[in-house]
Amino acid sequence: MLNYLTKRTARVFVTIWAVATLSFGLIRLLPGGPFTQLRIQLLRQGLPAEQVEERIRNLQNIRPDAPLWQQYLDYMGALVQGNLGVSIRLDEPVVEVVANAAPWTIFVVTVSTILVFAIGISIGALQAYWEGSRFDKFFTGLSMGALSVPFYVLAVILLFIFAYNLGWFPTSGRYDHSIENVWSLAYLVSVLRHAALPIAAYSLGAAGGQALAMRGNSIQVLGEDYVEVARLRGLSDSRIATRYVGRNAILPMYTGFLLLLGFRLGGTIILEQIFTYQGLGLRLFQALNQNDYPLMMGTFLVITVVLVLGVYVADLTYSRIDPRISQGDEGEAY
Amino acid sequence: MAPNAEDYADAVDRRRFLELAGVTGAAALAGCGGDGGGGDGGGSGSDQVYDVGFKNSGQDNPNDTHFNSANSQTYSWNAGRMIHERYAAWNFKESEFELAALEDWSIDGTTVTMTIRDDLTWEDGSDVTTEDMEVQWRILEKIGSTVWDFTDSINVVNEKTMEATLSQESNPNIIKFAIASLFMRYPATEFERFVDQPASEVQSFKWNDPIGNGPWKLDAKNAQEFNFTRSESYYNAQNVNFQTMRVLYRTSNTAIQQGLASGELHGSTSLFVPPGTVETFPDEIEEVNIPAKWGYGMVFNHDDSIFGQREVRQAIAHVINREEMVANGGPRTKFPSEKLCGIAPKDQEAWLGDRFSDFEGYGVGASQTDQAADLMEEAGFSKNGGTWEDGDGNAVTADYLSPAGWTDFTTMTNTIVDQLNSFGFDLSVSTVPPNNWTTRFSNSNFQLGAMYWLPGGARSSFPYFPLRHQLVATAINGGHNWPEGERTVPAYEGSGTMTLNPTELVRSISTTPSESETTEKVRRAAWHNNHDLPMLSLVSKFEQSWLTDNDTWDVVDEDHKDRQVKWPQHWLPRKGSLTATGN
Repeated sequence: MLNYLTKRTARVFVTIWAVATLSFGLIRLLPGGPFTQLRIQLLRQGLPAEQVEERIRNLQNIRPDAPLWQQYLDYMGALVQGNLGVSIRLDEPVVEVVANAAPWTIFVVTVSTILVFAIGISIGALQAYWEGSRFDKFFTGLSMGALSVPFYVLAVILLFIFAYNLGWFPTSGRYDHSIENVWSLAYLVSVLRHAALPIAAYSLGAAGGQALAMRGNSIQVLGEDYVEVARLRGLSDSRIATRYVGRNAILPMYTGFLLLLGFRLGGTIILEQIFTYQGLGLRLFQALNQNDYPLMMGTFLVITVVLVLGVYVADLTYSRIDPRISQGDEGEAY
Repeated sequence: MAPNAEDYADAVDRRRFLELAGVTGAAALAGCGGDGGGGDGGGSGSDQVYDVGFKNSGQDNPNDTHFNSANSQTYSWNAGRMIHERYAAWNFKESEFELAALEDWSIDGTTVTMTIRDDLTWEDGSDVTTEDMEVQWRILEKIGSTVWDFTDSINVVNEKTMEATLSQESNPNIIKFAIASLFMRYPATEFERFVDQPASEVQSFKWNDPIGNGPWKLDAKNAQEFNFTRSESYYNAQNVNFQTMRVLYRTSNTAIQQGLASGELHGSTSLFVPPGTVETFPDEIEEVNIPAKWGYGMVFNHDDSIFGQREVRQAIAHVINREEMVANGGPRTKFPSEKLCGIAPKDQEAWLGDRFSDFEGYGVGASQTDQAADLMEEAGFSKNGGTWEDGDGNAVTADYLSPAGWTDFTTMTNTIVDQLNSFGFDLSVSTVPPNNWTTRFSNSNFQLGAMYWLPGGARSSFPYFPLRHQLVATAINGGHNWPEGERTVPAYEGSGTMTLNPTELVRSISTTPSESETTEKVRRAAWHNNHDLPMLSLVSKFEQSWLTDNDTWDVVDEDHKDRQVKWPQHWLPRKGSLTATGN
């Protein structure tokens, strides 16, 4: 077990290092280089050439005139110390920008993902329980329909109906800035109201997919011998449904939950743009538009780290949920 | 305006940046300003101030932006113009300046005298004086503003009057366009400390707690909006009869369009809206169209073996059907240039006068392929299997560079490429992000592509600016490789040819004080442009600005002159031409 833990932990660092290295290399392959445009702009502002180079150096913690390996070591050294450079456009440390944006995105994605699984598992389990019923058929159709609508289409529709037309929810932002006390109930309600539509748009379609997955898993488990044995033992339906079927059907979905947390962070680029929700996704979108490479790399890295940690936690905890692989060195969650 | 660049937001931002950085020649983007006094516009004429707020929109995150225009990378021009008064404004309807922060200005030889309005005050009630003005000009000198391209020195005469001494006698139009673009936004109390510091200090200063002198003062800004309240100390405060002006942050054009359609927003300073979407707007949403003096053109790399040839450029001009471009690119707001001569379309007849008809039109509504074919053959090309080839049998092949995301540009690019390929070229559209697009031009890493041929804003009304833009192209660091020196074109008068140095000729306009001489030089420079085609002056457009005119908000009529000053949201309240009704 210790060997397994060590290997998995090492893999986390190796993956993050690989992504950081890849980012470092990729931005240097971009046409014109990351700072070409900025260099031109600063020169046009009348800054002496040496000042321009100094400013660019400050922005990325690199020395453009240094050998590539030196730049790489400087960059990685700064990264280890939590220094992601300075945003070209905002002239602020990337760490600060990310720290301000990330909690909001993580909040939306986490709540949304929990809802996706809660709704999906509940409906999927009921569908399996009443397999072939009108309920099952109705929700199967509904789930497939929901799954086929991209979340961003749903987002635009929800925004149009519930925010612009009905006015039930705000059209943009993260909270009502007129509320000064962030520890008040009004503030909490405001946060929830602002996040409601993004969360709904991000959850409904995906919940349909999870419901179908849960239904399939449950039906498969229902046919297992141990369920038949449980029935023969005379156990109650509810106990069979929760302890035997539910637990085993959920198992494969558990890792999916943690992985999805990471993957769905990437999807917030579009989601947050639609709702003008100032989180990590919107920052990444703006960084891409503005060739703000330090910010781009910073947000990429944060998303990567969250994803890698999700996988890591899933791996480490999976064995606790599924005793069958608790002793195995190869028992990886994905 | 930016980033969802279906409109020209990115470019406008960039142009503002360039203008402030002193690169593009002179004068500012949009003339805007006010006249001297109590307003000859709508003028509410009532002391009643209603506790309502006008909800404008913008695409700058207020938390990311500030009010120091010297730090242009994150300066919010849309918010900044709310609180600061410009020196003078250009009225596109009247084709004249209206004074705002200045009470008077005059040019006598090499002396420019500027007098600040007597009643112009900062929002705390203190007078705006030449002390502030001097600090501003010193900072502009430090950061290399264009006003210092022609200014030798400044001299404070008294508390309200300052003189600038020009390095040489200059064209008054250029001086006025340059000065009119300035805003009175550097209070000495805040900015004097930067006068003796390196330029980078003021250029990195984020002014988040600004002191204004306009009709609004900043009340609050957060991640969602700028919130301004009415300034009692504004000299035309009696014209402003509502309490707040808000600029709400939206990330996309679509979000603003939905906001307007639903009544959530009352206006948008500059927003591209497709015709289909305009039809969904309620009647109370009014569109204000001001000539943008900006539009789709074509730039060539003059070092290129094919497109560096004048005959090829002329052939291209003949093939392009500009009316078809407009029909595809948006006929509601766009219009073709009658003559390809480097002068803004709406100004061509006025400047060219009775010589207008002598200029080559290259077929504004037709593909003149016969003339084009003759020119190609004259240049040594021949057609083989439907494709034009040079003397070595190489097809006329090129990537046509166009900015991604600017949907109207993309449509017109596709139209042009289709027309030219039908003629026998082998062009491929290459759309790249706007930043890379300009970088490719700056690095001369292109053969031909879409490029704005007018530098934009009020100054483009004066032909010096677009003519210079096409030759010098500072916006792309001269990456189109226009060759300096003499050029031979058909004679301007009589038959035969004439030789001139177009760059020198255009440059000399800036130092010509006489109006008649200026006109003559403009005509000759335009004549050269018309034949040599440094860029193709294809299409121009109107800006689209949006306002609500309903039971709550009253806007002056469509033909009122106040509507023709950029931008309505900034200008109309100052003039009492956008008022609350009290309902």
